[in-house]
Amino acid sequence: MEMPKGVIPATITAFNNDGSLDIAKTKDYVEWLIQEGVHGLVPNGSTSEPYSVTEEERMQVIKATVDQAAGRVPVYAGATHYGTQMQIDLCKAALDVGAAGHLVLLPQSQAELPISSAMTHLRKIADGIGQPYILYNNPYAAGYELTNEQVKELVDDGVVIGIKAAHGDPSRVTYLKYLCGDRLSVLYGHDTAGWEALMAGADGWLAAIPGVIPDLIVQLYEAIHDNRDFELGEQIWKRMAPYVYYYNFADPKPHWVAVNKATLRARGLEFGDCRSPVEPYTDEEYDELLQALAPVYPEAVPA
Amino acid sequence: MSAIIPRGVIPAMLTAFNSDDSLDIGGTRAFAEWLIERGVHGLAPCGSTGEGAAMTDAERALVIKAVVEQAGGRVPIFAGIIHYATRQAIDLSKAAIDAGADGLMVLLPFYYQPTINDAIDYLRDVSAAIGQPIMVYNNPWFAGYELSPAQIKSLVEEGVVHSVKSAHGDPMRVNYLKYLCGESLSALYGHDYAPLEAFVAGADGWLSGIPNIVPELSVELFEAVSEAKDLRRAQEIWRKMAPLAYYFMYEREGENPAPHWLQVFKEALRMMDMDIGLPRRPTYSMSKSERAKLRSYLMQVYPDISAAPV
Repeated sequence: MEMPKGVIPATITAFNNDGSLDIAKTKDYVEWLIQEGVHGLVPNGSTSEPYSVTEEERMQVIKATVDQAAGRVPVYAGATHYGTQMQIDLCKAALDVGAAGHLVLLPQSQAELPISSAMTHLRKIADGIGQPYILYNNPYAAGYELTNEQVKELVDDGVVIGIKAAHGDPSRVTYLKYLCGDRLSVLYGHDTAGWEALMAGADGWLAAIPGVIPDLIVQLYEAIHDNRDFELGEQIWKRMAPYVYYYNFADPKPHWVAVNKATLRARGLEFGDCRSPVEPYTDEEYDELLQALAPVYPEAVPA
Repeated sequence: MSAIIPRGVIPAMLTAFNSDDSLDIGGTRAFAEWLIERGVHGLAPCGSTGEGAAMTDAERALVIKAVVEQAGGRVPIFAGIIHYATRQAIDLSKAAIDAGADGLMVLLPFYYQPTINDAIDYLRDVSAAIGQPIMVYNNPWFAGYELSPAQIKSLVEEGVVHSVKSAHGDPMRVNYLKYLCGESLSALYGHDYAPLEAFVAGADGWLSGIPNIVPELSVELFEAVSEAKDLRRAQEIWRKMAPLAYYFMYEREGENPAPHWLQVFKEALRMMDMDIGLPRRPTYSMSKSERAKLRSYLMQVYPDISAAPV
């Protein structure tokens, strides 16, 4: 597997109004992301509602994404499971349908799993699939996170080649790069501070928000990562800031998978709702979203 | 009177003590001079790093006066106010202004974790007592809670607050404070581990402990971003400082990380031939092996310091 880099949305899964999987719309969405210039795709990550779909449905989503991408950008399949063998089986099935690699979440610490067991689990997965992967270091989803030193150990051992640093504080990126340099692709993995993370040397941004405003995130990445153009990056960030502020700090805040789908709707990609228990936006919530989005895309969104 | 708005690199200045724990005013003045010679844009004595909480009010006023006199108007002085009771905070604040401080850095009332409304009133009362807006020292680690960007914005609009030491550490606090408040607030990054990220996100400066030991690099970093807008250069400067910041954040061990950060700063300065003594007890000096480790990181930043033990 090649080093992941660039803007890699954690993609959104489309459902019909009766709650069934809408593969055609999911593929249209993947096509839209590729046209907007993203550098890779992660289906079946947290943003895709993986806990609300069956194992078969997960594979359908991964396969649809791979088929639509058709080699134009790499697809890294999200793999979230607690049991080691289930995790390996899912990863292998994803390779079988053509995924280039994986984003492997830490085993959720439902029973206060010791870190040593989590480390063993992570090593076994690389052994089981026969290649290194992107580690999804998410303290909110897992209940804990690996330290920078523990990540380095997995890099040294060839288990991990990339990381989605999902804590949110961009200094995670800074110190992982300090410890691991070019041997680890460090992808900022939250939605609050991708701007700071790119300026601190992140190799990319793998999160939800690149899946709804991909054009601007790609521009930001190119300005900062490719061209070190600080002032252009600042301009792009300032343009998107009203929406990013809303995305992270709306009060009260709708569930983020609902925010994503409502945003796509506002941008003209009708998508259907999330699976229950996530509820659709109220009209009032939708108006608030439009207010945040209008300054960012004045032509596309009526104020 | 119109307040001086803090901007740039403002060390949370260390206080010098003699080996019997008594105040060393001469050493404190010499250290202020050393920092000013290295280009810092202001000084904040009697904050957390200045061991404000380890001194009587009378001692704090002496330190503030000494630093004001040594600066002689070359850089502004923002006096740290660390108290719980409003009345004590007001007394110390007035004493600091009488001693010539240009402004105040007021920690949220700590220890008893007052309600947010009461904490906000505390800031209003201190500001009213000195007749000018203040810098709020928003430190969740020492106060036990912090104000949200939206709460700070309303204090800015009221004229209570003109600046913030954003001490949580995650630089995105600075980003969103600037988004909400723009030029009406000076947002200073207030932790030690992510100044580059904070500067590029629009921080108006850096007020923290580490600038005490790398003042000239801190100033260079700030200027590379805020004046030259040169990201490549800023990343180079950061890479020079990074070993020390890494040591400070990740190489100290234990639940209450050892060695203590106050020891680290003062021992580092001794290694750099700027001896201002040790922290007041209960903090003792570092062990030989702890010193050796610190020295090995410090030498990555300053290869010229002596490799010989102090």
